[in-house]
Amino acid sequence: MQSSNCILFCSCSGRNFLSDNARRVITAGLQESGNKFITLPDLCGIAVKRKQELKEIVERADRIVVIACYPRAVRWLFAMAGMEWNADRIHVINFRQESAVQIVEQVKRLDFPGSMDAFVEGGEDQWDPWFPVIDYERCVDCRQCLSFCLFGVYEADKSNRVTVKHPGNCKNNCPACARICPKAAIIFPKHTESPIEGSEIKNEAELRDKIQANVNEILGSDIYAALAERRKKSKKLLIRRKDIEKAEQERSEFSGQG
Amino acid sequence: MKSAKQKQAETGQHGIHELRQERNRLLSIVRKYVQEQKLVPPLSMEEMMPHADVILELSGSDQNFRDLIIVLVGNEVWRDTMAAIPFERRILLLPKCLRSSRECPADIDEFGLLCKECGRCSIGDLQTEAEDLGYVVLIAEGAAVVTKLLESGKVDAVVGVSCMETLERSFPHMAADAIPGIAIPLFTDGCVDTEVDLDWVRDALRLRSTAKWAGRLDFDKLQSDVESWFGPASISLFMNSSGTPTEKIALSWLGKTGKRWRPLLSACVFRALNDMNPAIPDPMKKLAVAVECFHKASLVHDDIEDNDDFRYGDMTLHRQHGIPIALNVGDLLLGLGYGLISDSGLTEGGTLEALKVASVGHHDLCLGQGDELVWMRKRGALSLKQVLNIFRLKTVPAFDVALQLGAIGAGAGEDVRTVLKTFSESLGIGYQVRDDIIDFREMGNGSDVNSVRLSLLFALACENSTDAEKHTVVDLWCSGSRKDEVVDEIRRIFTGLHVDEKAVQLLHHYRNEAIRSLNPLRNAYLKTFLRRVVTRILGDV
Repeated sequence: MQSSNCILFCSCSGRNFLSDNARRVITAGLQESGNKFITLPDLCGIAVKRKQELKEIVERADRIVVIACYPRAVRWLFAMAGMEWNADRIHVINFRQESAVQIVEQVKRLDFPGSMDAFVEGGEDQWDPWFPVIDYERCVDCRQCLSFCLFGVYEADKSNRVTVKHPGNCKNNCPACARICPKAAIIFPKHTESPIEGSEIKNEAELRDKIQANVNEILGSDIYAALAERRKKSKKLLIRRKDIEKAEQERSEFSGQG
Repeated sequence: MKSAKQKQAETGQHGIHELRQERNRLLSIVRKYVQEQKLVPPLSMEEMMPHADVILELSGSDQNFRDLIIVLVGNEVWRDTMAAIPFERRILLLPKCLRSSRECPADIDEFGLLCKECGRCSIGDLQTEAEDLGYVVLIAEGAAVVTKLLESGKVDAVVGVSCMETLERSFPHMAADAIPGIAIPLFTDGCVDTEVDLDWVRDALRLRSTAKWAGRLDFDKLQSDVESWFGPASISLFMNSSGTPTEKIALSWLGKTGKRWRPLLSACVFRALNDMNPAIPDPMKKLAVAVECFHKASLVHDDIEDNDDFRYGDMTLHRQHGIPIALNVGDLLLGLGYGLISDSGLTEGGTLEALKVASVGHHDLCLGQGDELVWMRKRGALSLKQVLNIFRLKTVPAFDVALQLGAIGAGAGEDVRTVLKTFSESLGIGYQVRDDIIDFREMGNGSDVNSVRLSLLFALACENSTDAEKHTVVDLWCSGSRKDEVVDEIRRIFTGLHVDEKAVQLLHHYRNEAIRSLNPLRNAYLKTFLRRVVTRILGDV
């Protein structure tokens, strides 16, 4: 089998983590570098819907550089698509932390001769690939996510391990299961908060504090008061948001009056 | 049971208008039936079924409406209780699926939806209406949150909207804590863009009467009340101590905090039979303290018989003061208990009844303990019948005496007393079965390295093994060694004999029996309280 080095560029088309300009700069840089690269419309979607094709590309290569989001997210997304992770072979450049210019600089230093290879788009439907990815280095198989999720995203596999069996069932932008996970083992690559988006967890103690706001504990106290307090907070936010909307509307109205 | 989808497909032809008409028709039949039959909450599913069948027959309705009838019966049974509960103590549970799946802008947190009241679905309006009345509203994210909520023991009442499937799944959790509730099934289900009969929800929300709500028994709070009776100042009101060293030891032992659930049971039965009046008069307090005296006496003697060194994280009484003093203090506590009953100030008939109950319990307990001690000395194969009989003698009286004294204190009739007797029997045996299961599962985890216990699981292993295996089972169990390799071997054999599963089946049996024994009760407070006791003592669904 022919082996080749390759750059995979996830353009994360469904979200705005990359500006259009950044996409252009990176693509131009890749072309100039003379390296072999493949642009993927959305790595999440492909890892689910077209994992076989992805697997073939990755397994054919000696070295792979993935331009995408957080390495932890990419790693477990690959695992979800049935690929083994090898840090010596696979390197991730995180476009959510590095600028397009920085990325291009790194790309130019690579020596992956070959031409651009298009990943033929197709099979795309209305689905916006939003789903959880499990970090099995952190997961302790407590199954809280499995019982928590209403939509049957999770299932236990034959060896009784929790898996993301039906990613398509997941509700767009709902990260609730990640919040209840006591080990922060659930990643939503397209989320914005740390560590749910897949950023490295450096301070476990800090993490514990964050997670302490979990259902059990809140319910442990006075349930009526706890639920009322939660509602009050959300109402306040709501009022603030309405105020901002109103202010913006007024500004545009008044700006026309010269 | 049919899936919700199938049922929906079958009833789909009716259309919402016809469905509402049929529901209203059924509701009036159910309401009349529940009143005529004077059904008392909480109803177990088992109690509910035959009623539902009769109503189905009466109504001439299609079989598909059976589930709806069950829901309506459940609602009607709780109706008066619900109406008395202040809005502020009710929780409205709405399902997330009512929202507009495409356009809903709401955020979601650990609990569920944080509605932005955008008006695209009915959730916002219902929430506002309910909150204006005083409700706490939760648009739950998943069944797990609702389950935790219901299991917390801190929910007073629920109005719950959900698909029939989820209502069915939530019922056992509502039943386990006997939570008053009104359930409203969705018109359409399928988990997205569902619909509910808003008028029905509004009627349920506004249900209110002028009746006074007696409140639900808060076990934590009551426990601290009961605890206060054992403080030094309080205890001297009930007992005349001349301050001898023996009395001092006895009273300090009595004052040691335990779970106090025996006097708690007495006090709760009394309150339930007394319209939940929180005031406990002195005669009743004396009976409750007497119950604790008997219990603490049996602990002193138990610790001597079992040669135990520690209790309540402290040295046992005979380790502190020597066996002779401990024996004597135990005897003193028994005497004090009987004294409290005879001086309680109950009517002559009541006093006599109470003394009889206490002495029968005392007598049975000694016979049960005696059988166990005799077995400990001889150690050999045991039959299930033998073990259950020991439980009946040894553990049942603890529950029976506590409950009966509460009933006698409240002047309850023979009907209530008979129910309590049957109830205690199942509860007591079930308690011991559960204890043995837990003990078996934890075997080898440290503490009792060299102890032999009479256990239901051992009896099950004896009964289910061949003659050859039986020898090994008896030798291993009775050797007294609980070293890792012995524990592993016992576990291996017991697993092969499915001992654990059989024990769990027995536990379920006694739990069901305990619940069933409550069917004849006409007092909703007492029935509710005892149903909650089953969950606390024998575990959840």
